[in-house]
Amino acid sequence: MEKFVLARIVAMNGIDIGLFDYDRHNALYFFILNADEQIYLRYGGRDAENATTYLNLQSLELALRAGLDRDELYKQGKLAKQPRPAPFYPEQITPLKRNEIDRNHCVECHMIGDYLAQEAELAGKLDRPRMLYPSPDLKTIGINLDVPKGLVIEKAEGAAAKAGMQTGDKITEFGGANVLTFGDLQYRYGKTDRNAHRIELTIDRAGERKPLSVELPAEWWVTDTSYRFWSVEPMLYFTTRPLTAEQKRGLNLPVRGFASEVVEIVPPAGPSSVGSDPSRMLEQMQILKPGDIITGVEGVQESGLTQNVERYIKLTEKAGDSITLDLLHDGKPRQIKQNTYRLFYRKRMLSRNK
Amino acid sequence: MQMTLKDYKLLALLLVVALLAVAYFDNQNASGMGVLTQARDAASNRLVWLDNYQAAIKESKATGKPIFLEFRCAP
Repeated sequence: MEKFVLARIVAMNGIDIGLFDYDRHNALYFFILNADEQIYLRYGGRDAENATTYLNLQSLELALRAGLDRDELYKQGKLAKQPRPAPFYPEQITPLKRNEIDRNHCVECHMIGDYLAQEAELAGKLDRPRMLYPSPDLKTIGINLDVPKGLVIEKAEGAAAKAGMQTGDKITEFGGANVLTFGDLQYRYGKTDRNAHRIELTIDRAGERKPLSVELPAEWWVTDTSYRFWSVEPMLYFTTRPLTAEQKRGLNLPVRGFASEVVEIVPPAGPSSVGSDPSRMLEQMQILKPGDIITGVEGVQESGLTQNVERYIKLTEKAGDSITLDLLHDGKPRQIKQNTYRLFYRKRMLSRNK
Repeated sequence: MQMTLKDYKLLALLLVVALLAVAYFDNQNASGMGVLTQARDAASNRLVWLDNYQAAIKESKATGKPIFLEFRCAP
């Protein structure tokens, strides 16, 4: 560590977030860079299960060594200079400036992501698959890393195995760009177009460089977002279980559609926007009951976005919107209106921004 | 109980004796690394974290060392 200048930033005020771009819902995130602001690598990143899945001393040591190697190459003129991204400061995010910076509040990392999403939502420009799910889980495509060894594969499954990835392979490039750490890999994976069908990797297998083209499964970018304690997504009063293909066929519903059985009716998580009208909420909860089959949302039965009805609503509706559900209620077709809601703190912040 | 001038003088004398004793035993340590020396070295080896990005850039320019930059959401 003594070979580095160490710096710890706990407030993002005045930081060029265009240069230091990362998923802001990481409580800890590291960069190794030089005085010319050339970033050599990132160290950090997480999955939905745990904030420290990919952080440990061994992989940190590997990252530090890789950073020193890169620095040596840079000093020898053997490392191409990367163009600097356009500067972008927290002060340029209007609601963040108005609600926090102008009130002399400390700008914490997560606020950047939250306010950017808010600003985009208010402008009708929220790219939900990218902004609500910024860090897809590599395990979804079968990439299980031997974490203490950095980017060495412990086990390849699913799409990764199908592409030829094997235990012991080491990922060295993503889309033609060098990746030195899990942080590098997750960052580049997160930037992948959500409509992409493949990603291109390069691996090192026993000293031999080998390209691998991994076919992405449907909804490869979906992750559990519950650890992101602020979200712009609409909250629902029910949970569902997708019907099997056989069940859908039996009901003459599209096999690739999002027909789902209602599993549970759930009260709002915390104070909600419907709290002002509890009788209406109760009424809605009484109409929809476990066992009902949701066959469509606003007349739509299938979508290229997702085959999950709850996710479809979260991806297409605004929190607080009233939605029309097509149901099989006691086996008979029926249409009902359902409200969605926004968690209280989000509602309050958005109303302040209007 | 209120301390008199005599009490203060006695206390000062005791402090000087204690410091001299520590320095003596420190010097006598067989490894040459007495308690005080170890404490001093531990302090000098303690990693220094800057809390200002521009200061880190300046320090990196001056020393030629790369920067290990941490973003921590909760202080």
